[in-house]
Amino acid sequence: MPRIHRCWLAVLVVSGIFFVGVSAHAQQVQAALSQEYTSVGQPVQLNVSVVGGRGAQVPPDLKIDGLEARFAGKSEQMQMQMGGGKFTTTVTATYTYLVIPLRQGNFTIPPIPVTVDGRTYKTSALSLRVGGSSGGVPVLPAIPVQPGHPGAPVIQTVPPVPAQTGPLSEDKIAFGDLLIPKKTAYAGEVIPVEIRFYFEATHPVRLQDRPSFGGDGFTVLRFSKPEERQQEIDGRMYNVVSFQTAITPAKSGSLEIPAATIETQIQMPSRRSRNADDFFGGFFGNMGESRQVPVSTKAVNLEVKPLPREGRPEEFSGAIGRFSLQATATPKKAAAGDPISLHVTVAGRGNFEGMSAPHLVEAEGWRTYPPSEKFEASASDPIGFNGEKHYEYMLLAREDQSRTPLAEFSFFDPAIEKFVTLKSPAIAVEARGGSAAPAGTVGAVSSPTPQPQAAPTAAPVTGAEDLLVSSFSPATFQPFVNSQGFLVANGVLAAAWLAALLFGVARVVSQSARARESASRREIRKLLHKMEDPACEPDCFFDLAVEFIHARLAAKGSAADTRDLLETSTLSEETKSALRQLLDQHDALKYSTSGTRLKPGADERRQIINQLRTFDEELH
Amino acid sequence: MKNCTDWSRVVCHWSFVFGLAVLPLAPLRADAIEDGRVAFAQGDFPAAVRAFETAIASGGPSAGLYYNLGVAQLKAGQRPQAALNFRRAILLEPRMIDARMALSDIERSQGVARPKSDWRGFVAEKAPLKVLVVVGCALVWFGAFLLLFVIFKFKSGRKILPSLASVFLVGTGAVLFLVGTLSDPRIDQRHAAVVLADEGVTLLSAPADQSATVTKLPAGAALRILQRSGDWAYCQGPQGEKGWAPSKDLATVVPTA
Repeated sequence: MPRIHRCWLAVLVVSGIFFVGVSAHAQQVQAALSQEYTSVGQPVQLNVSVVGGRGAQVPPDLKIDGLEARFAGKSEQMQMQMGGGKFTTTVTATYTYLVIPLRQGNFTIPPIPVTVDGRTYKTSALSLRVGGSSGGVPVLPAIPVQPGHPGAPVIQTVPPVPAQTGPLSEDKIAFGDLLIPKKTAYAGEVIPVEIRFYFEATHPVRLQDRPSFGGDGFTVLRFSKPEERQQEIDGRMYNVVSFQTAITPAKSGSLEIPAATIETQIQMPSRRSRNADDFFGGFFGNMGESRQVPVSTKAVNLEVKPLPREGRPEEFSGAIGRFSLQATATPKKAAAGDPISLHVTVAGRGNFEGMSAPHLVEAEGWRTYPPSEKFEASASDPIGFNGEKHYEYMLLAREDQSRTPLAEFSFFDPAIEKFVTLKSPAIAVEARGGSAAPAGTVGAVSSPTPQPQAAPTAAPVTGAEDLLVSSFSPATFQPFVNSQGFLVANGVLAAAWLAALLFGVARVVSQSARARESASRREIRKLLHKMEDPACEPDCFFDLAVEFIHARLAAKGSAADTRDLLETSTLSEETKSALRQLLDQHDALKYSTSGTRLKPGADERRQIINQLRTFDEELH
Repeated sequence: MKNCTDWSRVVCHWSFVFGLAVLPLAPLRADAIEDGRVAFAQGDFPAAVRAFETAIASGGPSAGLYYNLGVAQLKAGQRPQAALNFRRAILLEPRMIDARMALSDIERSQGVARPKSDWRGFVAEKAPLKVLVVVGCALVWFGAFLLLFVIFKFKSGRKILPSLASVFLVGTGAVLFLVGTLSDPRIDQRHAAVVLADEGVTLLSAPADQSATVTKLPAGAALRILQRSGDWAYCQGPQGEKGWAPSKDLATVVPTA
């Protein structure tokens, strides 16, 4: 980049810095608990946030009867905005206390005094309900900050010192930390993990991908979306990118959780530009070099214990965590053969993927089927180990029932290191027993399929016969559409349909031929009507007569001679003779020079017409 | 009176002869079923298996008998064979929930991957397929005959609506018929087989012992035989993977004669 351009850029940036106004007024002080309900020994976080103020002073400890509250650390988040032609920076400082309940009860955390710029503000009072050690809603143990851990951020509890100057070593420019809330766990337990990567704020960073994290002996849940914030460490501002996930140890023993690594591209200071003599050269002349840097956390050791054998319920579901159980039934009334749906919800936090369905007890007289299941992760849980699992059982009453079976769910609670069995209360219903079950299922058992038995036993099995069905309707492996009866029936129907079609077509054709013939006959008979007209001249009269004879004798379009047609016809000899005479008269009239002689009278005309009618009827 | 007595004797005589001819079949099946029930109740599951097999052999297939045989085999520890017979029961009666439950339990315990379900399985499980086919056929033929009647008997101006109604009947019937036919597992799964070898079966890339492994299927897993070549069968696994397996380790769901 040309040197003159670099100078302009520097001027612009320096000008911008003058416009930046850091809001140092304490605009808002508030306190919040991470959970409003917890159990004895389960810590919750109390966060006091101060918006717009830096260097606020909070009490190091809170004295509340029945609660132990320790100051755990401070973090700061800086938000930069540009508006009205200038930059504004809002700093939010969060002071975190770890509150550990020592006994059950309802507690009120009094207002906490916060001093900012010589003025004292007070937060509002908070209430915390603490239940027994085995009940209550499960809570996420606070992730403790480990100040002594190498590479971990050192939390400032005093107003920050001015930023250090001078070059930083690469391991101070970017480093990672793997935070696991406990050092011992049980095999199968889901343990929340937070992976943080710190990047010194003056070094532009581009993250290449999500961190690679995994190893032998444990499984990793999905990663949350990365969260970004700023934090001051050793007087330097760091951009912190954190990912949340959870791990599940697969076996007991000492487990090393290997480092999580993320590939980054960091703008590092150039090695030859460490000379800071030239101010602009130091900032802009040598912006440094973009380097591919893998940033890793440290490995962490975890001691994994096996689940205890003593106290393990027979119907242990495999669930490890903290859960509650609820059940509802619909409909409340069912006729014989109608199913009732028992909806059982297991809510809480733990290994939802590894648990089996709650067991139904007191199910005598019911026919039950394996439930359908559906998991709904909590909306506030980014990694999906906090939520509800819904099971839906279909129940059919084999005899009249007034209440549903009980759902029983056993899990291991790692917090109290004991197995816990929850039972849903029986729900009052009105279900009629009956045999309207599907064919072939008579006598099936209410419990799932019988378990296999390696060797037969000679002892009678009580009620074992109920496992068998007693309906043996004959069946065949041949598809129904290939069966002889089906094919014959359809063949007969197809033949009948074809016959009906042919019959219909033939009928239509014949009807149309007959209609044409009738129409033709009607046309021919009109000739006779014309002949009856007294005004008709002899020439015309005989022409019509011959035309009538020809039309009646000849097929449609035939050009044969009328006399020939007459001779080959099946008419009686008498008719033929009369017609011959008529044809002769026509010829004589046509070719004679003295036509007056052949002029027929009215009687003769009538006689000729009658002869022609006789001829017509004879043909018909 | 004498004549009447003679006729009675004749009827009795022929009834006896007819009974002698038929008796060996029907009671054999009933006895076998009863024997199976008794043996099962006494915990003698291998004997129950034999009795139910005899009942099937003598009386022909029945969903109930295959289910009982499967339960007895399950109790006797013959899980792959039980899976096979539960499948046969489902093939004959797709809505037999008990057989589906039992098969599901076996598959879960054997670690068998469930094949991807499609609409045909859903229909077969929910609807009476035979009724669908019969009603579909009836509608098709009724519509077809009605169409002929409309074409040949109605005047041209009055044909449109009845013709459309006939076509609708034919179309609806055809859809019902096709759904009922295509969903019939006896058509859909006519090439289905079950892994009977206790140690499971390995699908190979070629019909040779030394060829590369495609996947391994546990005992009781269902697959589809696409082709046979000598002692080998080219199969498709529940997840769509294809490979060769020895025919002796498989049994077809539709029994071979």
